[in-house]
Amino acid sequence: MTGPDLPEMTRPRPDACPSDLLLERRLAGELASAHAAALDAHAASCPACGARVRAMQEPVLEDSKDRLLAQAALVVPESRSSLWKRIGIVRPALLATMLAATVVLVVLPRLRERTPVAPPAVPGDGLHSVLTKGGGDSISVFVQRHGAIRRLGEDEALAPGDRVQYALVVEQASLGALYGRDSRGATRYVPVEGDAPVVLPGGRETLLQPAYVLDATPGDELLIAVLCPEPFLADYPLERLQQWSGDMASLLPSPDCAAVVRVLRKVAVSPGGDFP
Amino acid sequence: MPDREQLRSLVSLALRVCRRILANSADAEDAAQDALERFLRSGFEGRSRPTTYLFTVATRVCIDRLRRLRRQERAYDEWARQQEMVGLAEDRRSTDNMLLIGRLLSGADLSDDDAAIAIHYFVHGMTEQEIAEAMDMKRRTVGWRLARLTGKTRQMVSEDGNDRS
Repeated sequence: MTGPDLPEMTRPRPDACPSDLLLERRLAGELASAHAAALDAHAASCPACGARVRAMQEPVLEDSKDRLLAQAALVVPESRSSLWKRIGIVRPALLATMLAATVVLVVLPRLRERTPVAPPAVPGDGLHSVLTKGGGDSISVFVQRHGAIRRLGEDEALAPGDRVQYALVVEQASLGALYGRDSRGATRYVPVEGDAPVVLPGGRETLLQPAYVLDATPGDELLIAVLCPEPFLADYPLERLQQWSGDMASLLPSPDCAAVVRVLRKVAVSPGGDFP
Repeated sequence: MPDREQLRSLVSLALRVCRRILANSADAEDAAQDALERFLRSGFEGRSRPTTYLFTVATRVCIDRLRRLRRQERAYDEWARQQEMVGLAEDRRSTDNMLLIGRLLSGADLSDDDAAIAIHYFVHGMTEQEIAEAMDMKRRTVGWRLARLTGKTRQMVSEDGNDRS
């Protein structure tokens, strides 16, 4: 929602209802018994607050909580904590090093061998024949037009003046970089931070920066994401894309890498028009 | 020092607070981790209200994250929609508040204290008195700053409307 339809900001709940802080303090047992009893009575009679209390009592994501618990334990000084004695950790610094090493070895492993993406049949005008994806990996596009921002559908088109931002979704943790090639053969690289490929956590959508404003160049654009298990030079695919014959494998820095493509359709849209 | 059960409660609280502000689970987890570290290193034992203290620490950490989102030009509308999708926003009013907060942080010259007041009031639903106690301010100061924030959002909405006309 944007523009004049936006309401003014208001306190999110009626004055009679307690704040999140007060409910959390009640759960933590920090309130005097009379105050706690009054809150309990309100929660029993107010469906919204009762639901909030139940939501606070539900376990948060167990995986993330266990990880945070382990990391929080590293911060607590060793000498005076019963927690340390219970879990038998000797030195926080040593454990932190081990944890970091585990992250490097486990979180960013060498990937299972990816199946190389089949090269497109025809480059240039044959962009529409290219749509090939590697497994569950994909390229997302967010577009802002006339103040509204939303995710671009697979079959939707862009127009000059649209402000677009890209994101990559990968199944397994990878290092990735995104490139574009328009119908005239002009190429570009979508940098994230500096010139290095970005670390892409597995099972998550990673937004790339910055956003771009589409120019009036006619025709579609091919987006190619190169994904590798190890660091690579971002210039490698870009240089080969500039002289590209259509062989996708030629863009890949190593056989362990894979490519994900998406065609961006671009059409002209009249001023004030909506998404075509 | 907290025992394991207390630590587990603190972790849960930090995660809940951060997930209310940052819809993205990954962002919320990272922020919760930072908040816990700051909380545990700060010598919180002498405080009579550790929950309140962790609440404010977590909110500040999330504000830092939101400011980084602004620098990265994230789509705030998508962020607000994610809030709705994960069901954290209790109603449309909450989602709208979050959208406005995001735009307030991105467009207005907002101090950290003002940003914290905005989130405490419009996201956590805290009263002016609760905010004053949590932030060690006078209630009158909180009230005045809230009125100014409301004015800023009103102006922001009005400018949006003028741009579109």
